[in-house]
Amino acid sequence: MESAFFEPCNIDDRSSMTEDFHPTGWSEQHIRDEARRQGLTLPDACLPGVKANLALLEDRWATVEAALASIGDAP
Amino acid sequence: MSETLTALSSAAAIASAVREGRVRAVAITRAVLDSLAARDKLVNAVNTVLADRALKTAAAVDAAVARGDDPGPLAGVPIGLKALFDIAGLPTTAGAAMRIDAAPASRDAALLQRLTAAGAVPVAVLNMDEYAYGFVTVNAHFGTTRNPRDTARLAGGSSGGSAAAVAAGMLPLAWGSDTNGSIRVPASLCGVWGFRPAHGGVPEEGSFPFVPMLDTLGPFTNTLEDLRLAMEVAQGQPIAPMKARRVARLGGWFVDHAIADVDKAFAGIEALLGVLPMAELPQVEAARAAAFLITAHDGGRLHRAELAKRPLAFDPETRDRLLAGNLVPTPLRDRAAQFGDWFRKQALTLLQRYEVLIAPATPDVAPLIADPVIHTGFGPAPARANLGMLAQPISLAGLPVLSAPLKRSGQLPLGLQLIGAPGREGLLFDLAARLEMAGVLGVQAAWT
Repeated sequence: MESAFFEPCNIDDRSSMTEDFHPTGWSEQHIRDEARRQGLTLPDACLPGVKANLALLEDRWATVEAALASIGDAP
Repeated sequence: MSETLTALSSAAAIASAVREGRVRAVAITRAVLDSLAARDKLVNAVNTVLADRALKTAAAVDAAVARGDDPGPLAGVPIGLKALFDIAGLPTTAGAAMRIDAAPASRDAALLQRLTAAGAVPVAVLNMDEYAYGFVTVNAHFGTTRNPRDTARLAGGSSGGSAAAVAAGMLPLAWGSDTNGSIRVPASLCGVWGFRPAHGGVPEEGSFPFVPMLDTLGPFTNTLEDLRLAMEVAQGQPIAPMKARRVARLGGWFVDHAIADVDKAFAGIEALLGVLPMAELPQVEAARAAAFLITAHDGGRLHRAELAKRPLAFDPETRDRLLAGNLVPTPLRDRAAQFGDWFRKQALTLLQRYEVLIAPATPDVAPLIADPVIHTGFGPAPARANLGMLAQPISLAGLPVLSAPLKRSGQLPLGLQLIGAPGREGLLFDLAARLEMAGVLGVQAAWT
């Protein structure tokens, strides 16, 4: 798909994930490993909040993914 | 408030009086500084008062008038600025405690330069959610901004200090930013006018970014006349007069998620315009979700270096969202952006059929600070995550939106979004003026 209004992101990304994004299934260690790939260390105090936000993001991605499928993946 | 300012409570009235030499800008500024000190104790809209700069700027405006020069269309108008605008000599905190000791800005933000060149007098830096990531203006360091219409309630955010300062009558004009609804949400909850320009419509240089592809800067006012004046100065050109003829109400998501009070407002609109067709934007829920994902990813990456160095220096609510956003893979974000292109095309196609689309700006009125829950068409929901659910999809489409307060005597404020195509903002102002004249839209009596 070509992008007209929105530009693809050119930020250095070190995630091990592609479009397989199901963080509710991640262990705490997996979350910490993913954070480390981005150069981040998660303090213990952050973990509950990060997990809650990841669950929300997983839900939002599922909504976008379903929409892309229903519009035939076309821009 | 002094008699001088009571009589000159709108930006247009102040500018007119100052330009004609009937009132001195310094007198207006002094009255506003007094008012800020007294009123902000209850509201907490202000982070910093710019007393010295304000009095010097006002004196320069008065000197221009004395020389016979025209200081400009905002002559002597006191303005407030959300804490993300660069102000020469001050650190730009963007609502973050960790930036209080940041290097001071070397120059004013481009928008502020434009405003002061038009005679405006900056008097205050206004509260916000940390780094603009929120819809509530609950800030761990600078405190919670209270809604002037009911100080037990939230003002909305993230430009809550700007909306509250205007709603409280402390300032006739304040400036904020809107990435996902940060002008429209607080304008709705505080009952004032606001404007989210089309992306790129107002210069953003020198404002602290959040999500550059969605960020916009815009004003809050107590009158529609002031809103137009502010936008004309900000854009550097007049808003062309236009007549809105084809108007529709946005259905689906925008009806299902709003409280029933909104229907009463539409009855008033239809009494003026006739029965409105119900227009459908496709995949609105996905548009909200895409904006949410892009925001988390881009906002997270923007702050990655600081998160790596000192995560505990962030406001905890902001920090956990930004950290999670850093774990969103970039390919997902790019797919969400591609969906955004599709959605924008759908919105622009709909705006070929209808010139103005109307939708509520928030699902509900301002929630209690002590119980931050809103009621959508599907029952109670946490305010922080859901106040922007009707504004966020329109951000993804990149459209200009006039945020208009419904005239709701004796009730808490609620706002509408008047949505149009970029370059056709005159249609939004025309429709708003007609609805204001019919008594459907307008700011309730000033807070006392």
